[in-house]
Amino acid sequence: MVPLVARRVLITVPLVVVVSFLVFLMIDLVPGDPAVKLAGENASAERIEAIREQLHLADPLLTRYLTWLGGSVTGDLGRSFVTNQEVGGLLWTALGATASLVLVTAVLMVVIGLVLGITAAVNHGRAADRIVVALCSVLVATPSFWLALLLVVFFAVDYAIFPAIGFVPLTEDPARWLYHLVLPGLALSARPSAELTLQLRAALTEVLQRDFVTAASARGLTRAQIVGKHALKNAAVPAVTVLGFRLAEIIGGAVVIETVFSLPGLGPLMVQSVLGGDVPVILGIVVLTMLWVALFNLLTDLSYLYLNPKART
Amino acid sequence: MSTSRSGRRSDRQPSRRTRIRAGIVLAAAAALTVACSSSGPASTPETSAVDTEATLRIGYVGPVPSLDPTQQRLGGEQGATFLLYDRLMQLGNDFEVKPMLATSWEFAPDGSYLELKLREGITFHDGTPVDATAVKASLERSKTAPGSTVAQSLSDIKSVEVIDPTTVRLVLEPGRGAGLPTILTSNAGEIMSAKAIADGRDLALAPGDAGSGPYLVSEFKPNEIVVFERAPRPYWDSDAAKIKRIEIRYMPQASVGLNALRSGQLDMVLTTAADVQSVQKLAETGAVNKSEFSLLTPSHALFMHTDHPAFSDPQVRAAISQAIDREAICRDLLAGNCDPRIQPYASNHWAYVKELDEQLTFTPEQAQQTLADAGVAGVRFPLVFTAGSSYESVAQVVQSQLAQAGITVDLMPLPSAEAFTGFREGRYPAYLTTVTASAEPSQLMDTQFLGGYNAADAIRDVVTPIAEQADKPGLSREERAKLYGQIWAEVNKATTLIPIISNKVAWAYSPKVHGVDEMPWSWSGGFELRYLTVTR
Repeated sequence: MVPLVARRVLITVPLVVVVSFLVFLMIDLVPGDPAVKLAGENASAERIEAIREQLHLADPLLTRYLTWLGGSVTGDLGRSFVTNQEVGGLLWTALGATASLVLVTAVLMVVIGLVLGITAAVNHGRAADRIVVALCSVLVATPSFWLALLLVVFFAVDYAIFPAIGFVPLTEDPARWLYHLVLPGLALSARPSAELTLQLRAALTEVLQRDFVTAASARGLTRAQIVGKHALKNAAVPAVTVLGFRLAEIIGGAVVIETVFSLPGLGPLMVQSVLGGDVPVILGIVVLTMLWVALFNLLTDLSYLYLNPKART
Repeated sequence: MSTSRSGRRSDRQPSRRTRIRAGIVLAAAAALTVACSSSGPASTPETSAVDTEATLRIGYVGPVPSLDPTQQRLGGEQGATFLLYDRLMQLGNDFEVKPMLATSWEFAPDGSYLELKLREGITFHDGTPVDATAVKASLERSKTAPGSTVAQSLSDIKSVEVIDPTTVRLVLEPGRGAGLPTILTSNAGEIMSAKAIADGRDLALAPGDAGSGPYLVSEFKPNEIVVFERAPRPYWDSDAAKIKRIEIRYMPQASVGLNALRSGQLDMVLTTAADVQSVQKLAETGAVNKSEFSLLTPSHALFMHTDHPAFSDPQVRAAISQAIDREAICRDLLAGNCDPRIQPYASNHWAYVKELDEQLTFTPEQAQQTLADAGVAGVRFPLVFTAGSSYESVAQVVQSQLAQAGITVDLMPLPSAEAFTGFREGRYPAYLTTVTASAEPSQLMDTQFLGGYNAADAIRDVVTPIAEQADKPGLSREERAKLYGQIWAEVNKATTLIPIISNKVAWAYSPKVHGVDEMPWSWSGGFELRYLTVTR
């Protein structure tokens, strides 16, 4: 396990450097001078030049990148061009909302995926199975933003059960934290939950037809014991793969959902920083996103080791 | 009207709040109060119905990245600092300049300075006096702060002199400054504590007690939310600060804000052209109230480099203007939520010229005739605009309308910074954008006509003397209006700028909120919240 983690970390470090440089390059190539953007439409040429000097935008590309990289290594991601806040602090605050959303989404994914997947597998070929498959097919094809709007109109506007917008930090009030994240979590988890369900259903159906299941059944184990203690672990590897990949990807979907529910997460921060030409924040988000993806890929690999002893050798 | 489900909680509880507290709002009498001490522009409900402990939660489509008046780039941002800082003057909805910190003002007979008498007995929240020294420190900071966005607006001020504690003299650049009183009603005229300035306080993120306004910031997350609490001490303007707490939350989309308004999480939301129709439907059900405003200056106008071959012939420019069916854009594209425009100012502004609107005609045959008379065929030009914005659909319609007159437009959607930088630098010959919303025509001259976009560049020799005349201190509003009318007429005659339309914006709000109809600065898409009230 330790070599795997070490190998992943060693791969991640140069990857962050290369990708951040490519992003830096792409931002530089995008038409539009951040100094002009920051100065406003009616600014004089002198003012634009002053901002350019203040932010070192006239320095060569490589100099600017190395300055940023040097700071990043020491944990200093620079300051926002727009608000002058420390990028690290901005990311930390936004990560709180996004991580909360992802956590709730992950729990919903696992719960929905397990319940529906097991239900479909143990009732393979029956009505319950068909209903689950049909439902999942619909959810897989449903755009999350559209579902989010439907949920808002029904549960927030028409019936006022959940709030339409807003976020409360977990540390402030856990109940209200959850209350604000139910609808966004449902919207974001619908599609991956359906994928997880279908994956689990297929794997579990196959496992339940194996000889050891018949033997266990002959030994008098109940259906719940067979599924819970034996079959599920054998069927978990493909399901965990889906779960890991989706949790890594979900940060992309969070951009839309956070906008619809006005959550102060990484999504709106990303949109604002791109529109405002806020280079340090864009780079910070890119690095954070890469670390996020690398972390979930690592966790997925580690879960393989746990679920599949053969992979440990 | 009274089916609001608005509450003053920071968020909703699961139970639906549907009880109707009938009669409270409708019983309120509307009254316009214009007093010397304040513009008091609210239609005020009965005093007993006003909830002075209320919270007002606003969803606004523009983010607030900074609370430093010298660092604000968009008009909407200043609405936040209007609550923190008092300005030297304030602007009424009739565009009359009214007293605020300055109780009176007068230009020198020779126009060399503008002298202001300050309100006595006012202090900043840090206890220091709002006096001439503070005004001097504040204006000098606004003129010289690195990256100040108001420095250009204050460029008519050469220096600031303290005459006595309640008298300050703004020494003017020779022959300039007539528009200064209006300019000082904006964030350019916001006065900060000299002590806070000297201490180097971070006014962008933590202004603390640096202002003398009716509110203090209790929470600020840039680009997300800013929360104001009424200052504990009595405020000099008794018409202001009737609401205890004001939350301004950034809404990435107006539709998100509308949902929050309908669910009772917000009390007031600004919507723009695309959502005005939705607000109208909601208002018809009585779920929300609606106040609609036309923007003061054109939201969509075609700026051109008249030295570009495509636009060097005035007849070609005239033909382009004649071939644009502004009525159709408003009617068919924006469902009537806009006004066709042919001049910089709307009819409620003193620099509006009624006669010019007679040119607001769609004459495609005349456009073709004009081109034929000019002996020009195959006119073609690229048109840049901000990608993914409301300009896109208008640009497409303009493209198809001009095609009918034989003019080919190549649409070039670009990132906003590249669009306006590229146009200003002359890399693109035509730019579809907004005429900056300024109530002061001299500012438009500096930023749109004779500077910035240089929309009057081709007739600079004609326009400059008139603009200089109009900027001379001491002229009456009528005299200035006449001069600016001449400029607009010259611009139209040479067609160096083609105004197209002006969007409407609408505030959707809970029936408990009052004073929105008369709220100053709505013509800019911004807001001045200090005179709003909320009833129980």
